Amino acid sequence: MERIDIDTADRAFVATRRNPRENHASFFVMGLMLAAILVPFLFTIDLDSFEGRVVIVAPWALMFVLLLLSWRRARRHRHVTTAISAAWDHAQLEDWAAVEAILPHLVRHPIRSDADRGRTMVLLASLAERKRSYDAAAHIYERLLRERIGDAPLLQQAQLALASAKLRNEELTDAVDLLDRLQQIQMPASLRAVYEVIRLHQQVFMGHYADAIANIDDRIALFRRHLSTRAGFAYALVAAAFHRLNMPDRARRYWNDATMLVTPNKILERFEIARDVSQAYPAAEHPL
Amino acid sequence: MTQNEASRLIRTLRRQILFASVWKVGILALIVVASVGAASAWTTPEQSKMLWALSVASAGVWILFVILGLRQTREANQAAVYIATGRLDLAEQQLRTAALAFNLHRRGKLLACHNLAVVAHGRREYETAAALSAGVIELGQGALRGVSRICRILLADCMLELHNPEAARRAIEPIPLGDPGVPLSEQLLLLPIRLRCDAALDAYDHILIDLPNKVRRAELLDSPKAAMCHQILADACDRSGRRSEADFLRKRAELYHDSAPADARKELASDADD
Repeated sequence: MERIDIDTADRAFVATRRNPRENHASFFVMGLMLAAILVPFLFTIDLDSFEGRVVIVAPWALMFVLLLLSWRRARRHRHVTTAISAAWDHAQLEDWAAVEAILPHLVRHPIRSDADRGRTMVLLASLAERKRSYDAAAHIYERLLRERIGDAPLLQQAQLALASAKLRNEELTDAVDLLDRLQQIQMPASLRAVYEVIRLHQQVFMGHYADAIANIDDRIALFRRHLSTRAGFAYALVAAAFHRLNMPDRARRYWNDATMLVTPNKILERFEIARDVSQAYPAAEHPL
Repeated sequence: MTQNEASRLIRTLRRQILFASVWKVGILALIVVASVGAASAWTTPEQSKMLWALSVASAGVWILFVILGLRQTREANQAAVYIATGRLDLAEQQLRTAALAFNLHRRGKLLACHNLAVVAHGRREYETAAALSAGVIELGQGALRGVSRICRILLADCMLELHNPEAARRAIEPIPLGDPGVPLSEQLLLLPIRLRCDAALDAYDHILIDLPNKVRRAELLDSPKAAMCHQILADACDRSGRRSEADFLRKRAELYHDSAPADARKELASDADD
């Protein structure tokens, strides 16, 4: 998967769509089986004759075919679910090479469950973001939201990810509009913390440094409580805001906290905006 | 639910699962014998027809039980929603019914029993949760690997709360940390418990095995658990003279969560598990 663009994403949406005719073969065999069961009761057939033996054997043979079809479908479903879980685990461990190895196979075939399909497309969008194809990532999130693919928590995450992708793609008006709308929506505290990171990114990106550090203590408490290690990214943005406001002591402190949790390389991979901070202050040492 | 009630429930389940196995074999044998009999040349046409009807009826009964079993599995899963929303009484009531209802397949019963253990754990009834978890592990017998693994982790946590780290370690010994066959979500449940176990048994050398991977996984935990794991890893580094790593891990622990004194750490971990 060299490049992920909007066409790649659209092809993935089409290929992973559930086949509406996938159960037709099973229904046909089931109908034949029911008919074969009813034949001896509806018609007078000599069960001792050759035809009679066929009538006795037919339902069992059809049931075998039905079980075979169900087993094949269940095996395929299990295989897909396992692959999605594995890719999701690799993504959490930031092993993107492994995600990239799994994903192309997943997005070529129909996925039965909407939740699994949503998770797969979110993985594709995350990979697109890694490759800096922010327009493709935003397109995927938009389609997920428009077509309501996935469960409610996934869709809420997709809304936040869409705002972030638009911001990175420099669609600033859309990003700010979306963030303003999301501010009015009730969401769990863990998602609110993610929202605040994106808002902070937008404020630093657009030069609203004073807004970025307003209520900073409340924000830091929220990040610390809900973002665990990912709070490092938020601290880096806070450091960037203080640095640009010419408050080097606090910038140094937050940069140290940020790099204590996340390595500078990872921070800069995600937030290029923090590059001048990384050059101005020493990062924490990672002895592990 | 008390510990005695839990033990009684497990005994009942053991009996029911045995009974269901006999039923399963019986129905399958009836289907095969009746079909073969109906198709054989030694039976009269009337007998053939009767045997044919018997085999079809047996298959119908089998299908009916499968549908009932699926319904029970769904009920067991629905109760998880009650657990998540803190309505433990409703969850317990629904799960008891699901666990005791007749079912040809043990999956639904054991899932219900596992969820009952989660309810008991949520109420800090650790003896009850331990009895139920041990029962699921015993009755699962490898057929429900995922559920059995989670029950082992739950059992270990209960044993730690009951100040029995040896039993906790025995419970989780068969689950290798970092094994690619174990999903990451289960590894993340296992890590804090394994570290607490090793710390309680003073097995600090054991804690330091594969340290970078343990730190990598600890980073994925929520803040209180990540802090606790970092603190235990820091203590282990300290004891083996790895001062720079210990300082680094301790500073990180402070960044994750307000530092907890060593005595309160177990309490914190238990809260985080809930």
